[in-house]
Amino acid sequence: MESAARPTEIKRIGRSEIRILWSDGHRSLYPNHWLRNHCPCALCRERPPHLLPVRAGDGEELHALQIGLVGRYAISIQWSDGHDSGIYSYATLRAACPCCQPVEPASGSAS
Amino acid sequence: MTTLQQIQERLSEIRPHGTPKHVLELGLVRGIDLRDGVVTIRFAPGPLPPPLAGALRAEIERAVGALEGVARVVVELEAAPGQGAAAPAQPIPGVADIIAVSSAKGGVGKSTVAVNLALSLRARGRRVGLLDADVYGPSLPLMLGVSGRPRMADEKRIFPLEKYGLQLMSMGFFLDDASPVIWRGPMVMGLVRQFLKDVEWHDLDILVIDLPPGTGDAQLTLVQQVPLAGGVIVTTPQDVALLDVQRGIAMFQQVNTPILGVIENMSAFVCEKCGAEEDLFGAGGGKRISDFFGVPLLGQIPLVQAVRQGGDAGLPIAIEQPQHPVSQAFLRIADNVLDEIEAARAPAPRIVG
Repeated sequence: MESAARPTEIKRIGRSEIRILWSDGHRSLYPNHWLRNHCPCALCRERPPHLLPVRAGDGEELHALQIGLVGRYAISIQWSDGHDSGIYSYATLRAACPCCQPVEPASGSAS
Repeated sequence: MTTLQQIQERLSEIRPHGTPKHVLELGLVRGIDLRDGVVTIRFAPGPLPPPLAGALRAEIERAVGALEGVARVVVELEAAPGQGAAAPAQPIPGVADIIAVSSAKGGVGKSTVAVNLALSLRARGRRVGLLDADVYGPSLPLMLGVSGRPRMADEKRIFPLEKYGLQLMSMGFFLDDASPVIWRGPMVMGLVRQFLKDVEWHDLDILVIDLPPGTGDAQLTLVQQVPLAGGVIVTTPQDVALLDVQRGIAMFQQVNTPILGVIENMSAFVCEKCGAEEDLFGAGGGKRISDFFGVPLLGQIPLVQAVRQGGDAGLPIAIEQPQHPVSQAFLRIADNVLDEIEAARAPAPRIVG
């Protein structure tokens, strides 16, 4: 039975990215803005798209204040904009790994 | 002059509420000390509910105090260990992983799920046993169409029955007819303990335990008797059921058992004639609970008549119609369960920086 890869290490890289090392040796880098804008919580998903981008104008870059484990299948991230209700499952994160996507969606437009 | 033997004889006459075993056999007395007519008894009520423990204690004092030459009886209550840490959980010989299927209340289809999950795990090539610990209403014999007494050896070892490639044990195998079973708490515990200890499982990858419905003492005792690879919670989508699930989650958390996930049963009604789906109990309850509590949603099983018919006829849908969407859903759940068991073994990721 193929078993899904699991994170072995989750690390904040500077103030701009979060890195996940996976049990199969893969390494994923997620830009903070991409993660924040794809927050899976109900509040964010049901917000009209034009309201979605986070405010980043306070002179400070959006970053993760804290990362916590949710059960054994996900992480939660406390963002510097105060938002913390998103639960990012390992499966979703792995499927969304930027380097595995056929074409990288323009991630710079959010900031 | 009173002797230790006399005291033991007295104690061996005390049986909690009609259980076949007395307090010594049940391991409730941890030590007896006799000095100058003062008898000190270390009494460990363990998981017994306090009122029952109190009654037993009084009975011990009375019985031993009535012996000639005993001036005083001191019953020392052995501090009940924290609920998570009662008797150390003993692995079951011949079983690699044990998962418990629970529901906070009856009627959500827990046994149907347990049976079809066990069969689907079997279909995935695992050697699977199914222990019907629902002593109040054992349904495994009916659902799988098995009957007959399990073979016994040495009056102690019980050999499981087999059907559809599953090794099976159920209280139902020992009951003669459909007469209602009235069990008191301690009896349930004793019985289940015996089932866990004395059944000769043969080389199982996974033992699925169908817990009695509810989140009370009996269930709590059960889940701490054996080291569980994890617990599965069966629920229906409506809000009240979700409240119940919280209790199920709390129960597993209390004993530090990983929760493999939630299975939402009767998620939608599928009309046999037109195939239309209707959310009889509201939609997405299982999803909501898995989001809210941070436990995975292992899958959703629609309400389909064929499931009930299969169960009543002793031909579970996973056997009778392997291509049926419900059977396919059970296979996906089995895969998820296997993944989660694996995941529960894996160490949590390190969070750094």
